[in-house]
Amino acid sequence: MSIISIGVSGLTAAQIALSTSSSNTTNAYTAGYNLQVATFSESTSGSGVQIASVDRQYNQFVTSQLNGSISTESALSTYQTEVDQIDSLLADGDASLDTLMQSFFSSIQTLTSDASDTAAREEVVGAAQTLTSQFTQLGSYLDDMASDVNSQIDDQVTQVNDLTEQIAGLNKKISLSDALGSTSNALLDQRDLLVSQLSELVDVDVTTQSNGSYTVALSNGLALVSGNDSFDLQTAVSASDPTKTAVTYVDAAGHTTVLDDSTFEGGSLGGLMDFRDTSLGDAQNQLGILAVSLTQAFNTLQASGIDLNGDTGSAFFSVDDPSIYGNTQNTGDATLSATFTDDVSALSATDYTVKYSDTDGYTVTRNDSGASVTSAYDSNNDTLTFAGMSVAISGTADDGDSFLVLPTRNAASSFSTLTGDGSLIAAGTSTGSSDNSNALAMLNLQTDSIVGGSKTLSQTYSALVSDVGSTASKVAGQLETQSGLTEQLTTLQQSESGVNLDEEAANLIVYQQYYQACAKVVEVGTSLLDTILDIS
Amino acid sequence: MRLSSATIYNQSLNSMLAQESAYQDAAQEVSSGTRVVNPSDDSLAAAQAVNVRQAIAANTQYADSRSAITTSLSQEESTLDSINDAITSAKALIVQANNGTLSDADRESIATSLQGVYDTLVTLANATDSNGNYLFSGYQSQSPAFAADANGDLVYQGDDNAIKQQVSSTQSMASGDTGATIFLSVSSSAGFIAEAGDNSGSVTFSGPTITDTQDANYGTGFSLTFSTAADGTAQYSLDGATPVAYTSGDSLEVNGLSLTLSGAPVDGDSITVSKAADADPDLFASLKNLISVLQTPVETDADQANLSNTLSTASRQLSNAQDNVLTVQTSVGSRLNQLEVLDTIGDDLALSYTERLSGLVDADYTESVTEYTALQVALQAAQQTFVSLQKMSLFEYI
Repeated sequence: MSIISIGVSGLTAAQIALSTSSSNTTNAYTAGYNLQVATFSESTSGSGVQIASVDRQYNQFVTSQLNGSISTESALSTYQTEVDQIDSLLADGDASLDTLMQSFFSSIQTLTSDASDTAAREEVVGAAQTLTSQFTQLGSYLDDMASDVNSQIDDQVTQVNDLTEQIAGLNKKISLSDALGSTSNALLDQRDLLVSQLSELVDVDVTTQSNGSYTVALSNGLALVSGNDSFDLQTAVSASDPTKTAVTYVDAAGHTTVLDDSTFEGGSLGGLMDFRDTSLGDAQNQLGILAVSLTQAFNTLQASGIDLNGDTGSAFFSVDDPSIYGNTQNTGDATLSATFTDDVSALSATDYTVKYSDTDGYTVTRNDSGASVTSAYDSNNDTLTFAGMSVAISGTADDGDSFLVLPTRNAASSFSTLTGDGSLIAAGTSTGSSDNSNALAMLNLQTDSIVGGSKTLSQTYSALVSDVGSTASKVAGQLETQSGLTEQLTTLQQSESGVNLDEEAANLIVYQQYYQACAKVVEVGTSLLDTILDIS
Repeated sequence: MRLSSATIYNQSLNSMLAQESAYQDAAQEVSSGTRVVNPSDDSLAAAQAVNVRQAIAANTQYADSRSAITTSLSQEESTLDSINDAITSAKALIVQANNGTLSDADRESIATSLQGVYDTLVTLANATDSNGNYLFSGYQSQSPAFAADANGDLVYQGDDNAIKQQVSSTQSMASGDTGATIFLSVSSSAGFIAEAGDNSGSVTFSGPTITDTQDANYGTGFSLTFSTAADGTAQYSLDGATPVAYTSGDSLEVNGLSLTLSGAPVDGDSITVSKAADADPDLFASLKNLISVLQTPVETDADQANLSNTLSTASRQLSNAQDNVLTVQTSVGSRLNQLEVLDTIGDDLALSYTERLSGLVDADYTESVTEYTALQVALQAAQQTFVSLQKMSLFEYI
């Protein structure tokens, strides 16, 4: 082997090393880029040097840990974005619900001072309207959030499908190039970046096959990507609760499986479902029970009193009746409709499931705790009574049919004041225009435990504030911890795979010098040759 | 540990952003003076603050009620004062009328004075508050407490319900009294009243006086009915019992009461003695009756006896009425005192609630300003670090 060709092998190696360093330098801030290192080895075809390989600095273990952490962080961050909205809704201020409830009762107090004063009566009506409209506003905002969560789930499922399709495509290219013996680092980087982006949406398990392709599976083992194929997620209205969007999985044979919300623990999809099933539902129900309790208690007093016109009082507030949805997979033709009974103290801020079985008839369970609820079935008029509700059943249910009962979910957004006429307030129990005895009872609703028989209105609101506040601050704390973990793992991942510009600058200097040295070798070789030629 | 350039950049950027956000929060706390705005700022404090605000609102409501009741009771108190004065002057007129030397004309003029007192009392009974509500009509505050019927007799239009309001979390209080309580009642300590029937004879009574409260029948009234015995002498029957012979100057001891009679009764005359509370007390009816008797010329012994008996009865009735008004006045006074005590307690509560609320949600300025300053320094440090870190590069030297 000539000196010249030895020198040239060095020049070639230096060029590859320099271009690797240049590539590292230019991609120093590129997302998903992994540091590449040119490995020198002695030339196998004699003397000289060769670049054995240009390798990605990649650690599968750290990367999958990082992806897991990103997934959890993304779930928490999504949850935080949502729950912070409720947190702000409940911020203290002149328009906060507790202030408006106080104004309402304060106006009733004024009414007790002079029940014949029409101005005082109008003030009560005005305060009631302000209160109910604020309730409606908060309730509607929460309802909007619920439908927004559904459409976000739709969007994210589309993004998941998009990403899994791309990953499957890259699997194909990579296994192909693998077979040809030339793996492209850029393709690998790109696929890992997609997996990382997918982890932000949903928590996935990634396994590498022998041909280099990734198998990406959900936490329950269903594969989203397998080899060159990807399997779609879809969205559909939940069978048990038509207010919710459920995610379904379509397998290779085209069969659709409904995925339980618990399948999605991490990722923003998991965060959205967790939020919708806990904080959002709880807030809607707690606001709702405030509205229902005030309505029932106030209307009951109205009915037992006499208004300024000498008539028996009529209903003053109104809320929607409980919503009931039959499971779409029910085979019987029973339909249920519910109304609130006067025994409002039995109400709870939870949803219920009514099931029918041939052996046990109708049974009721609470959805928050799963505990069974005592119910009374009256076969004479086909009525099921439980938890402050009376449910009329028409038609016949089949064994296994189930129904979802939402007593308070929609109450806040439907809360309204029925009259604008102050004279219709039944302040008295006799025809005396200054009879304030019933108004005194109304005033007592402020301090009576009318909510679920154990809490006052204000205590219920305070519990809501406490629940939302502690959830929001708990999530913020968890997010901070998780972000710290992600940052640590990123640093760890970057310590191996990241580009350090100082290092690259050093490399550039070194390889530049190396190139000069190799060129010198060629020059020496040339001059040696010249010497020989000169002799001849 | 090997650090990538991206890590160095991200870490210094993230710490700067974190400092910025903390600095903003601190600035917000200092400028608003409030530590807890959103429930998540301090969920426990936020929830407690809701309860404390509720307590403050309720306390304010009770204070408003007390202020309204104080106004009503003060007006009632001064009205009762005037009623008391009117009764005092009526009593003085009765004393005058008792003077045996008065002529019919003199009595007529006393009657005229009494009519004036009567009219004053009617006006006072139908007093209204600033909203035009009648003070003494109970729940029927839109109708005058007393109105004349077809016979010219005053009839109570209100009901027996004094308006009540909640004045503290545990106590409710009447903001007034009804006309029935003031004008149609006697106090529980009122004694006995003797009243002559529509007599034609000249029998007069003095008393009754209480002689024996231990008497088995003490507390019940009795009635005397006069008749003429077979021998032509006068006799009387006690509560329909067998008649007993009557002598002028007789002093009867019945049911622990003593009643002295004089004059000559005729058949059918009667005298009824009853407990004042059972005798349908009615200040207006008593005065009206008295006025009409004073306007009647005294021509016969029977007239004289009627005048004397009516004056005697009316004198007692007015005393009872006055005692009753004083009793109501005392009750009003004690309610006003209670309100004052409750106000003091309420003010103390308000102060302690406000302090509690402030402790829960307000910023501690010393603490938050210190934190604000510290964070400002920290942010500036983070910014400087960022700039100098970005300058550190080997590329600077090649």
